[in-house]
Amino acid sequence: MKKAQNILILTIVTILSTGLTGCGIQSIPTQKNEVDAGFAEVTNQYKRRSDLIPNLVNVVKGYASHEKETLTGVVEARAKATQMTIDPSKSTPEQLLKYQQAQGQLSSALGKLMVISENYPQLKADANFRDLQAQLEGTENRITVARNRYIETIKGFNNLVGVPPTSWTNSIFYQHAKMPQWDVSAAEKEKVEKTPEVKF
Amino acid sequence: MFKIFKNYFSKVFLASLAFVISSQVLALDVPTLTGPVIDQADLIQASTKSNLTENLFQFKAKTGVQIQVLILKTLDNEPIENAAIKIFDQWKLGDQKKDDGILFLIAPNDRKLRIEVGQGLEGSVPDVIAKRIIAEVVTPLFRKGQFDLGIQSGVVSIQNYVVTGDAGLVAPENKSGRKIPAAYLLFGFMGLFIILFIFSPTLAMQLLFLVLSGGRGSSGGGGGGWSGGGGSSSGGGSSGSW
Repeated sequence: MKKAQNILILTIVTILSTGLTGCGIQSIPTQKNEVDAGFAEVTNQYKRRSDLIPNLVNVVKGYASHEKETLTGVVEARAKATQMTIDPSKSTPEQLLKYQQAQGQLSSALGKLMVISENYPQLKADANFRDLQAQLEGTENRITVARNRYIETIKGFNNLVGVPPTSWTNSIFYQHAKMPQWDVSAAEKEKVEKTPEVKF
Repeated sequence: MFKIFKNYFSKVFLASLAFVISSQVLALDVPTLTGPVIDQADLIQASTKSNLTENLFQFKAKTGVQIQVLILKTLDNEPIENAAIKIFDQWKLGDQKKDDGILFLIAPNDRKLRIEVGQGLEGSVPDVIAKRIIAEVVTPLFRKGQFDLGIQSGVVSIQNYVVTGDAGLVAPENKSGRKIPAAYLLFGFMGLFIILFIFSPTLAMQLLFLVLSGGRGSSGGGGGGWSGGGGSSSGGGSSGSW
């Protein structure tokens, strides 16, 4: 008699636990945390980039001091980008867009700086500059990777929130809205619009 | 009612099939991880390959760091950075907690190479060092057509930096921190086992069996296996071309 009761309890527990794990009651908050972590990693890598810039600007200044416009462009873009701090768990789509734009402007300013550095053979031969260039390349790559992963986590979250059966759980318990997807084009548009002019 | 379901499921099935096919067409073929040196392009000699293989096995046994050499036939028009991260993600080189894997990727037909560094090794092999290994050690030899030597010296340089660059990697054996004597541990486990045995003899016996068979299995497979341990990379390292 008691044994039968035990089995019954065990079955109920099993069904409940498998049912609960499948319906999103766990996976929605978990994925939310993944999204936050993904965004934190993106900002982390952007921070790494902006930490590199003062040294880079100094080295370039040593060889190409008269390229003032480009250099101040980088410094200003960096200042603007570092001013923007963002709390991933409470960010609005507008804030996110602004953040992306600031970082995008910094990307394009940096791109210009790297283009002009091509004109200075001595600068290119400088060991310091080479090291910084390697670090910058690596950081840009890390940013791309972090962004890709962030995009994937948002996709996963939006699937959980928007696709049944987990969306039902969401509307009953959590009421999370879909996350805005990271729009690379918005950040990168700046870059495309201001392609370097070709002069003959 | 049933018909509707059937219809729905067949649609879902078709859609998923289409998705699988399309994603396979677009994606770069990540080869299966068969050993520490994979040469799809037949770039290096068999003797070099076996030497390197042995070296990398020993290095992993000694330091725990998993270095992987992969010579890809083609990058399929993908940037080498993307290919490297994709392969790294799939193979999960290095330990899950330490993330101590390194992928040395060479695409001879695209004349490109990359050293992709796992997150845990970014301290001992930073981007600058990876770049220097590529620019000063590997590519000069590659330009002369000495691929065997280039790859070998690249691997050795990486290993040097891994060993000397981060003391934490080699030090754990020497660290004489407060260790719990093995005897205490044994007594502790025995005590726990006896308590478990009193409460549930069958569970205890099953556990004992599991522990014993697990121990046998791992000691048997220690020599031959080469697989990723769950490590990941955040895109560190450097690339180059020749």
